[in-house]
Amino acid sequence: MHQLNKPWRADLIIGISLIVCIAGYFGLLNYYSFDISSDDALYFQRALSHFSVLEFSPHFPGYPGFVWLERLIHSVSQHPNSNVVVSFLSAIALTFSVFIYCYQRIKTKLWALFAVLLFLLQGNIAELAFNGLSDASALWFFSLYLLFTRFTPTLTATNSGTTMTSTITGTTVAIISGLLLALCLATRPSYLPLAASAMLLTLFYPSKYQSNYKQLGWQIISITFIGLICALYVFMQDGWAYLEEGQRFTQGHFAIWGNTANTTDSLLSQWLTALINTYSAFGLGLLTLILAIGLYVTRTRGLSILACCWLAWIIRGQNPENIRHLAVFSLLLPIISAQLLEHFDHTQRLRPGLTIFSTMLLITLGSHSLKQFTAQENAPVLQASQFLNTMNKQQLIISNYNIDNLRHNLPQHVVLDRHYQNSSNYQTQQQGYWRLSSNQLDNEDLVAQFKGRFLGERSLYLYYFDPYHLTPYYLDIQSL
Amino acid sequence: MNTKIVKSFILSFFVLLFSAQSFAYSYAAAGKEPLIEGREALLQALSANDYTAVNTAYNSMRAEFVYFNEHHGMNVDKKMEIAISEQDQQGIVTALIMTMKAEVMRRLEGAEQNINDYQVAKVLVVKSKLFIDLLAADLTADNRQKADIAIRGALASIGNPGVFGVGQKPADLTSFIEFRTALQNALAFTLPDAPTK
Repeated sequence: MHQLNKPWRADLIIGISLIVCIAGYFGLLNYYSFDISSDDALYFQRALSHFSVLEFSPHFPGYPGFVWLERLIHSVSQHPNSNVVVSFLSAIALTFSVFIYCYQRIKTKLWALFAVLLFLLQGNIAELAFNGLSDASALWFFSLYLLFTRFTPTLTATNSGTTMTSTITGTTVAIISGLLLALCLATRPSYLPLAASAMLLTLFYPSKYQSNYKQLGWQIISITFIGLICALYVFMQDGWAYLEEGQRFTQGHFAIWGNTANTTDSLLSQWLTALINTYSAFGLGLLTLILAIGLYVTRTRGLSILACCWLAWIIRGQNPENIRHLAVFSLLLPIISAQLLEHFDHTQRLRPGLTIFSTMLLITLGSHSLKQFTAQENAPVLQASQFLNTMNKQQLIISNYNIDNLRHNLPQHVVLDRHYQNSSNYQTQQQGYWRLSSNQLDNEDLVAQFKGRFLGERSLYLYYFDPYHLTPYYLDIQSL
Repeated sequence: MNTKIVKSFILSFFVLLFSAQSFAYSYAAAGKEPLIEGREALLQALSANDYTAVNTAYNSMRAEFVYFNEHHGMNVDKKMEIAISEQDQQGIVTALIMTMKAEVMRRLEGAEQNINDYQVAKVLVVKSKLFIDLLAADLTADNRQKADIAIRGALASIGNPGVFGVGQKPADLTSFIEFRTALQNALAFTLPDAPTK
């Protein structure tokens, strides 16, 4: 809520600081190359020229919203990996969203900058920007929806100045917010639990403009409209076979669950590990405290409930090996933190404590996040491909990760899927083979490690086995 | 009001907690393919030199072998049975590879016959790619690439149905036959009763 009586110079300084933060962070990130780092990203890249869910271009459910976005960016940039460019730009846009959301709703504008800093210092932002997948883009649409939505009682809304919603009618707001949610779902359908919990939540916060149920109705109509366009687009490419592929793909996930997992722990403890890896144990403690207090403070209760719903969802139904599923927290937690700290900032005697707390939070997350970055410019799968490409003679490579990428990058070599373990073992009885693994193998001599560039990008480990699996074969790489 | 909100969301929280699992993972199964699953079991048994298990594995996919004998005049079931009884590893693997190649070409043939039924044709060709991936080690690098180009070309030749005529691309039988022939050459395998051009 912009206050007109404030000197414009303060806004200018905050604006410049924001640009410096964003340009600095993402400018430094540009050190890394825009590589295709996973099979899913490769499928999105294929979708650039040819969309077909049946042909894994991209895989089910098709993500038409993201495919349209990458085609739009490709028409401007011509970058071969436009999907990575889209995820990178979306991460930048998301940072702006965090700022604008806080700027609109916070009196002390400095806390909006704090939210931006906290957002950027989270360990998983780089992965979100470079994964070439739909998370960042869908989350950006969701953040725009949040800008149109008020999860605070209307009484406080009137006190807190004007927002963009005050200049347009309730029906228009409902339609626009519905369309933004629809675009979020078109870009990433698995954000349905997030969208659904947000829509349900708005029912509990009376709108200034029209009945909540009427608003919900308009949102559902908007989502249905975009959903139909997406369905038409998908059916235009694949026809009814799309449904059969959906069934096959879904069943496949259940049957293959854990193919690349290297732990038998429960999902809950795996997620706890993922959270600690992302935020550090101390950082996670601080953020949990913020979330707990956020649930009790009226202003932050809405977003805190959303964060809890998302936590429930990922614990129940998402793969803990992909920390990109934590992106929803990456968006919500900095906003909740900034709003909470600003809320308590009005109490004079709490100020020193708040300063210490917020500094501690930034230092903890920042130092933990910085430790995760490595000097490699290329994605691990590309590093591995470059290594194996130095060999002229056909090699046998068995991998449990990035199979399609390896097949795409190494057409001269035989790449076998570790999922078919028995046949792979049989085929290696008579010849030496390379084993590429997303987890370190015990008691084996490592030939090379291809490090992930940042948190969330898995390192790959390369081994060589002789036909009898007795002694690792040491290669003189120079001679290759 | 606030208590009501909290209660409702505690309820929603638990509803979400026990909802069905999502399918947002990056790996898709091959689907139920007796030949792929049977091949895994058979090669594991061969690695262990356990011919009782080899026989069990073969029986799980015997119907596929018999099919090629009955419908395409290929003798793969007999070849396989003789190789198993003689404990001839090479013979077993040869019969298996031949059957897998036949599986690819049979699907391409099926797609050719159903070229105007988009859904049937496309699924048949897409699924044949699973077998080509498993045959990777048995093809030269050059033939692997040729097979890949042929499969992509065959898929493009099927066209697509569009919606109410929008986006419709008619199937191109001539080009499909060309790619099918290219795939035959890449796999160095032709069904005995394959249609000639």
